Order: sequence, then C-alpha cells, then structure tokens
Amino acid sequence: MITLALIFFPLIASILVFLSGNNNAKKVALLGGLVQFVLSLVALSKYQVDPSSLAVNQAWLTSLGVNFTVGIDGIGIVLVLLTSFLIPIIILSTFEREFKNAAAFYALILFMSSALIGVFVSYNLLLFYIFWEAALIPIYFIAGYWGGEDRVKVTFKFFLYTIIGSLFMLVGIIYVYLQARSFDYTTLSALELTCSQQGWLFWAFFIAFAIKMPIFPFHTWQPNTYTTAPAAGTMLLSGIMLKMGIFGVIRWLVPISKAAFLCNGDIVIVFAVIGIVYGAVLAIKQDDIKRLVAFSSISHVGLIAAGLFAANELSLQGSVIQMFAHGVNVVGIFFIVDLIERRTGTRSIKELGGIINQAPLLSVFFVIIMLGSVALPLTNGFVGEFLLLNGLFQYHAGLAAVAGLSIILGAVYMLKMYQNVMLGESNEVTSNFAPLTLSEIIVLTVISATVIIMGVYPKYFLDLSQADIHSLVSSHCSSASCIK
Amino acid sequence: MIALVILALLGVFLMMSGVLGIGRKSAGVVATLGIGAALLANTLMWDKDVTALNEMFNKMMIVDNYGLAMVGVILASAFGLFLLSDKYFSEITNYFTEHYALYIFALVGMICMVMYNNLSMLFIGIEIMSVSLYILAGSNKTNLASNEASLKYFLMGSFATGILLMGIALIYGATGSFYLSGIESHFVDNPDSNNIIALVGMFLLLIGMAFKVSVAPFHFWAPDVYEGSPTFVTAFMSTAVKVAGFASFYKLMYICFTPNILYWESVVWVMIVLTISVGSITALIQTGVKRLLAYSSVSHAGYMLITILTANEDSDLLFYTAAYVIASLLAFGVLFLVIDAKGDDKVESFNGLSKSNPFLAFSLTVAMASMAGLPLTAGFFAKFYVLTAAVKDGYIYLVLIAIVNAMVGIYYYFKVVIAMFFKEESSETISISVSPFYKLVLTSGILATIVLGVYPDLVYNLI
Repeated sequence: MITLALIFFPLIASILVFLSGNNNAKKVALLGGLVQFVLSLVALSKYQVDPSSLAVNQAWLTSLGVNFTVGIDGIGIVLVLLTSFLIPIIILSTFEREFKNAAAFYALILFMSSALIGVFVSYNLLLFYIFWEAALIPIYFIAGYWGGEDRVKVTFKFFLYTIIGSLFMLVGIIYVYLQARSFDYTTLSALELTCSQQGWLFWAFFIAFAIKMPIFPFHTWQPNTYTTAPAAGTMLLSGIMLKMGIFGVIRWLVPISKAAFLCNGDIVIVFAVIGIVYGAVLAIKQDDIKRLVAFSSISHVGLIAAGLFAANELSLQGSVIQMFAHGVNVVGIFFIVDLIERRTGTRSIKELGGIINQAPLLSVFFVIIMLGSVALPLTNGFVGEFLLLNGLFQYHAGLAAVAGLSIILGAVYMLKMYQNVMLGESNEVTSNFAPLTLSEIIVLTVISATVIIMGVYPKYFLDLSQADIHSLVSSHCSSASCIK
Repeated sequence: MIALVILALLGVFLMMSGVLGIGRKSAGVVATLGIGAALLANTLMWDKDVTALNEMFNKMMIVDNYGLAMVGVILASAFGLFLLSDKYFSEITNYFTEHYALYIFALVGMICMVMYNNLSMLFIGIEIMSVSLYILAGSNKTNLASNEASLKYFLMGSFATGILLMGIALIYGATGSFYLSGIESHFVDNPDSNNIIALVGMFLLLIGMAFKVSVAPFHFWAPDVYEGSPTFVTAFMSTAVKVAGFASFYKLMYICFTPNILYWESVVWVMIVLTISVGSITALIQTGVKRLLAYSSVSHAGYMLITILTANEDSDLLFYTAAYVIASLLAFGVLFLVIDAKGDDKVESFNGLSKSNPFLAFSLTVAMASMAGLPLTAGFFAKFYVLTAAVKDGYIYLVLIAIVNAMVGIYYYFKVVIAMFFKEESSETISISVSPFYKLVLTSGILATIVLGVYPDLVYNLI
C-alpha cells in the first residue's frame, strides 16, 4: 500500500497545489514534498523489515493480461529515497524566485515526482514505459515555459530526442511482449531469446536509456537543455531524471538482453569513457558556469555508465551509490549557480570573482559540495567513484586508467571555477553580493550534511542495495546465455 | 435499428419543420435530443437477442455488437459535435432546418453503412451519407473555397462511388451474391480460385472504399475539402464520417476477403505506408491548424487501415476510432472558438492561448497528446493495440515505419502546443468567452481521454 501511496500521493498533491493558487503554491508544494519524504522513510523502514510487503499486484488491462505490478527492491529504494529527498529540496530552492503561474510550476514538479517514483517501482514493462513517458511531459513544460533564452527551440530538441529514443524502446517492448506474452518482470527475466533477438532488443532499449543519461554520442541535447531550463528544471533533469536511464539499464536491459548486454559492454564502455574525457575537457573550456556543470555531468554520468556495463558487483554497487551521490551533488551545485546568477545577473566566470569576501558562508558550502563532486575521500562522491573505478579496473585496466582521468580533470574544472568565482578581488558585479537567506541556508546545509554523512558512513547506503546487486550479478552477469 | 428509425423520422420532421416555422433554437434542441435518443436506443440494443430483427429485412442489415459499438461511436461523436454547434448554426440564417436535416440524413446513411450485410445496402448507405455531405461541404455558399470543396468532393466522390458500384457488380457476377456471407463462402469454397472477375471486383471495391476513407494514394480530395468546408462540417467529416467509412471497410475486408488475403495483403501494406507517411510528412509543413488536422486525419486513417490488415481484433478498430474521435472533438471544439475569435486558423493564432485561455489550451494539449499517442492518453493505447497486433502478425517493417511517422507526428502536433504555451501573442490579448456548457462538454472529453489512457479496458473489452 505504501508503494501506491508513494506513486499517487504526489499526484493528488499536485492537483491540490494547482488549486491552491499562485500565492500559496510553493508552500503547499513544499508541504507535499515533505510528506512524500516521510512516506518514503516509512517505505524504507518497511523495506528493512520485509521487502516483499512493498509489492502490489493488481489486475489492470485484462485484454493484454497486464497487471499493475509495483514493488521496491534494494536498487529501487535508493532511487525512491533520492527522488523524495530531492523534490522538497528542489522546491525549497525556488523559494527566492517568483514564477509566473507558480501554481502550475509546482504542480508540474509534483506530477513529475509521481511519474519518477512510478518508474523506479514498476515491475511491469508496460507500466514502466508509461511512467517513463509521463515523466517527460512535466519537464518539457517546465523547461519550455519557465526557461531562459532560446528555450522553445532547445526544449523541443530535447523533447523530440528523448521521445524518439523512447519509441525505439516501445518497439522493443512490443517485440519482447510477443515473445513472452507478458510484461511481467519475473517472466521477462526468465525469458530465453536467441542471440540476434537479444542483440536487436539490446539496441532498441539502449538507445532510449543512453539518450536519457546521456551517454556520448547521444548527449547533444543535454548542455543546451541544462543551460536554458530554469534552475529547478535543471535540478530535476540532472538530479533525478537521468537516473531513469541508468535505472532502466539495471532493471530491464540486464535481464532482458542478458548475453547481448555482456557482449556489447565493450562498445558501450568505450563510448562512455570517451564521454568522460570529452565532458571533462569541454567543461574546462566553459565560461558559463551552468554550462560547465552540465558538461561535468556528462563526464560523471559517463563513469556511472561505464561501471554499469562493466557489470561486476563492485562497479554496479558503485553506480547505484553514485546515482544517489551525483544526484545530491549536482543539485547542490546547480543551486549555487542559480543563487549566484540571481544575485549578480551573470553566470560568466570572467565577470565573477571574490564572492568569498561578501558571502563566506556560501564559500564553505560551495567547497563541501564541490569536493563531493570531485570525489575527495570522506565525501559521498569518493565512495561511488572508487567502487566504479575499481570495478572498471577489474574489467579492463586500460579503460579504467582513462576513466580515472575524470577525477583529475574534474578537479581541474571544479577548482578553476571555484577559484575564479569565489576567490580573488571582488569586482563591481560581486561587491553587492547579498548574504544567504534562510531557505538557501537550509538547502545548502541539508545537501552539505548529506555529502559528508554519506562519505563518512557509506555502509548504510551500500547495505541497502548489496543483496539485490549480488543476486543480479550472479543470475545474469556472470554467465552469458542465449539460444544459438 | 430503432436508432435508424428514430433518425430517419427525425430527418424528415426537421426538413418539414421549416414550413411550420420552427425557430432555430428549438430545431437545434430537437436535433440534438434526437441524436441523443438514437444513441440511447442503440445502447439499449446491446447484447439483446436480435435474431427476429435481423430476419426482418431479409438480412439486408445485421445488428450485432460490432455494429452497435461502431454506431455508438458515430452517434456519440455526432452528439458531442452538436452539443458544441450552437455558434455554427446560429450563423446560418436561411434554411437552417435543412442543415439539421442533412446532418441527420448523413447519420442515417452511416448506420446503414455500418450495419449492412448486403453490398447493395452498403452502396445505399454510402450514397445517403455522401449526398448529404456534398451539400454540406458547400453550405457556405458565399465562400469560394467552400464551393470548391463541394465540387471537388462531389466529383471525386462520384468517381469513387462509380468504381465501388462496378466492383459490387463484378463481385456479384463472380460469386452470385450480394450478401457478405455468400461472397465469403464463395471464396472459402474456392480458395485457389484466380477468378479474374472476382479479383478485379475486389480491387475495385478496395479502391472505392479507400477513396471514401481518404487512404493514400486516393486521399487527394481530403485536405482541400477539409479546408474549404465550414469547420463544423470538417469536424463532422473527420469524426463520424471517418468512423463509418472504416467500420464498413473493415467489415467488408474482414468478412468477404480474408480467404484471399494473399492477393491484397501487399497492396494494403503499401497503402498503409503511403497513407501514414504522406499524411504525417505533409502535415509537417502546414501553417493552418485546420489543414494540419486534415493531414493528420489522413495519417490516422493509415493506422486504422492496419486493423484491416491484421483483422483479428475488432476491438483494435473500435478503440482506435473511439480515441481518435474524442481527441478530434476536443481539437475541433477549441478550433471553432479560436477561428471565431481570431478570424483564421493559422498556428500563430494560437500564440499565447495558455495565458488568455488556459482551459482551452489545456483541452487542445490533451487532444494533441492523444493524437500523437503519448502515454496517459487514450491515443497511446490506440496505437499500442494496433501496433502490437501488427507485430504479432509479423509486419515488423510496417510497425517501424509507423513508429517513425509517430515521431514525425509528435513534431507537428506539438507545434500547436508550443504556440499556445511558449509563444507570446503578437497583438493585444483577446479573451475567448467559453460558456459553462461548452466547458462541460470539453471537460468530459478530457476526462474520457485520460480515463481511457489509464484504463482502456472500459472500451476495449466491449466487443
């Protein structure tokens, strides 16, 4: 029941927010987000007692024999927590901004949260697809309506790009349904397919997931969309939405195209590693800090993807925890970018500088979150990247060495940004930098605390998903099977 | 069958009522209520024992659940349109009762088309419907485009009818029967017969029907006619008329010609690919929403045609038509108001509609999402069922082409959404006033689209 509440509560909350009017919308939305977070904690406690108590199985489309099957496993719970943790933070992070049609804005955020939770708990492929697409619609309107310059063109490209990917997946879904006569997770993961069938299915699904993440060379929509979307939209996209792609690989791609997943791993990892270096190098060259973070996200996600396709226990463990860590860190950084832009009216590194003189508190938060992002030990980024690189090393030492560049290059662009934006002499743009407000302090404190807690004591998070990753690896990734 | 009687009497009554000096408002109420009553009568026949009724006219018409469901969709769409029609009819100053009567007669024709069991009945049904439509297309007499539409439609339509009639004649010559069952049993008994007369007859029938439902390469009349006709007539043609055409087309191919599907399979395959592609690619470059909807309706015809090729699930066609009709009603419902307020149907006229009229913008967005086939709307399951059936029958390439066109479709449907939400209005804001009743109708359309998008079994499991 709690699983259903997690899906449908934000939906109801989103309607309430819409009806509450533009003036109250943000408060009602925050309340809804917090209740949702509490619900997810309840789900967490139930999960630790008995994971199967979270499963729900209801008849839905009798004509196709489809059931409404949802449940939460160790990987799902991490993402459910991530979503319901970030949504209230994202809502709170917008408190200093005034939006036209605020009611619609916040209603869309909550609607999106409902769809995202749906993606992470679906154990039925058709249901998964419906939630997957449903998550796209709110973010499209958020980015298109409240975005910056050139938003119409940029968001439309994003929209078309992702939908085209999804339609490939739809073909795959229909095909796999006709093979198994079922959309059910357990039936599909027991399905035996020939090598060529698995190969085609792999690419059909992979394109959809790769566009969402995005993996090089499917990333071209990403920098522009991240840059033009409003800060909250960028946080949703980078913090939660891209995890849909990674999660999709773990939940559906691995069990459906078992052998193809393993034998195509090489190609994908090569592209992912190219993406790591490519994203990092471009991030170094950026002047716009929001764009810089966007490229850094390509680099980070490249590493997660590489770990995913290395498909050993360490690397998968790393990618799951890194999904959480990256979500928190990137939201933090985009929030700092937004508050700097709001105060100074610019995002250009050249024009900024010396903010530390006016806002020492901000610089402390900035340092913590930045260090989390460059994976310094004792921060959350370190745990994930270490496991990922370690797992990748077991897969191929050379690739791991190249991927390891991400940490060095990451330090280069992050420290360069920090140095140029925060340190140095204040100039006329930054000399009137207003101190942090209460809501900003709350957001930054929560995020910084998470960065440190997860870094110091990652065991709790690792234990959540450990068992399920182990069984996933031992049942699907250790031996390749397909009918010749 | 009772629905047919009600509508026929209603048509005659309305035609005569002009003489009695009936007011426009009351004529409208009578017509709308009459359609509602016919819809009710049609629904009441559901699952009833109708053997006696079917014997009544020598089985010229057959009442079955398939026919009842299809007629239900037709009547419901006509009913919905009439609920939104007040503005349109109020602008007709002369002979308004005849207008009402023509719509009603067209519906009579459609019922004959759907419930036919005999090819002559099919022909009569098509004629009753078409003649009414020829007149209605040209009913805006002072407008050149409307006259052009009428003439074009008439010329093309009568050609099609001629071809259809020729086909019926040849089929009769080859099989000795006008009855669907008779034709079917002829083909079942002679599976390998390459009786040239029967085959030519079959293809002539196919072409004739393809004309009527605007399937490429016989679709050329559709965009001009749709654009030139009064918008209300366009809405009528792309909803009720389209459903009737496909319901009878499906029945014809499914019952009579399934035994020799090998002869026409590839032809229909090509037609589907052409229809979907031509429809969606040409829709890409349209600047007028009305014309865009016309091409999109051509494209949708392609998807509906897939059901004829897979021909094992009546429910596929029923669900597709239901989803499409609801979305069209919503889209045209908004279009009526926008054309009325802004004077044209250019995409730019929709700029900033979300600000001046959020409700209308939302309705149109739901309609466009459903037509594009996005999940949570009825249109998604409509496409999903059709494409699943096609993959099941092994038409993988067809499905891939259909999917590519669905992608193209999203582009042009969302052009309108972008205009409404993301673009600013150039001139001063004109707030369009929407009556509460009108809102109610549109709201029920939105609800229906979303409910069917979440729980399609409601309609899908009917037959």
